[in-house]
Amino acid sequence: MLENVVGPPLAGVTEQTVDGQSWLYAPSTEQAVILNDSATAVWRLADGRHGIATVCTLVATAYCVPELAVGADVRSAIAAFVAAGLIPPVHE
Amino acid sequence: MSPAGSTRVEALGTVFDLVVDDEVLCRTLAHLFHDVETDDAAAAPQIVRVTGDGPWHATSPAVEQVATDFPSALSLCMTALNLSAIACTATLAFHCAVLAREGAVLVMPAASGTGKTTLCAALLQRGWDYVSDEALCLGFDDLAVRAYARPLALSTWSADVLGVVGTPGSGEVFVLPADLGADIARDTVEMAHLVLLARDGTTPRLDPVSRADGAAALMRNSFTQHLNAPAALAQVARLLSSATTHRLHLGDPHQAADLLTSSL
Repeated sequence: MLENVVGPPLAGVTEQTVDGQSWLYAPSTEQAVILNDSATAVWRLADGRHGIATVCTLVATAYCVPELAVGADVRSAIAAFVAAGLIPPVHE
Repeated sequence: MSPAGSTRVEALGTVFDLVVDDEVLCRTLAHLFHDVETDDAAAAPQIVRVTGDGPWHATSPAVEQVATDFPSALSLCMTALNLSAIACTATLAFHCAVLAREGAVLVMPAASGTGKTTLCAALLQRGWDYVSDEALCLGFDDLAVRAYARPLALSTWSADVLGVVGTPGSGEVFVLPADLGADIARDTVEMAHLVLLARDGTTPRLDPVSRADGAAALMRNSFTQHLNAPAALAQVARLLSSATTHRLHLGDPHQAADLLTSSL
């Protein structure tokens, strides 16, 4: 069991990609979220198999930037997913 | 007692026969449901059956209840048909007021008591065409808006404010679009404007909101997204891809209707 594990999506969360854009809906909070490209990258990794550090590494690799450059944005995206009821809280 | 008559109506894609013993109630319902009447010879329509001529006993797929006075019987029939339509529909339906003007559809999702029917009636008085005061009705795989032109159910307060005289129900007044000088929009059209309603008593104001807020409002007010939530969300996303999204801060319904009419 990983610490800081991100995800997986909570039960009932619905996801659709329309015209290349990811739309999510969380029935528990009745919130909808439309993801930009970088948030979509984080969302794809919020599958319950990666910790925060790994998510940062993978996103940084995907965008060819240093991890330090993406850390804050990744954590912010994860916090937004939690607040919207899309994934469970991440225990650090 | 044998039925005085029946009226066949189409509501949210389902055909119903309203079978009523009481002759006066039967005539009144036929008048009020004129705009949703159908000659569709469906093999097995759903039945809303009203027996007696006081008290009146209604049975339907969603409601079984007794009314002891005529206005309550009328309201009961309206409720029985509407709730049964929602229970039986296979369409993607959202709790919204829906109007059209020059081919553009305006959708206002809102819970009961927000003021959407009052605003809907005020807009009809200003030349908008009527689609529904109750439901935005689509397919799960097409975006064409279907009319559900049931009579508007105004509170007595709203009817007074709008200067409308209709058919009295229990604490409400039933009004036909024609009573407001409006036509029914029956042509297949798609949503152009989504307006969320905020009842905060201020001077009416129209602010832009995000598509995500619009999507949340539609999903929250969906009657049938549970039938296929992914398809519902995809439809909502497609609807919003080409629509404007605003929040209307409601105040006086006349001023709010003027603002929407001049702004959209």
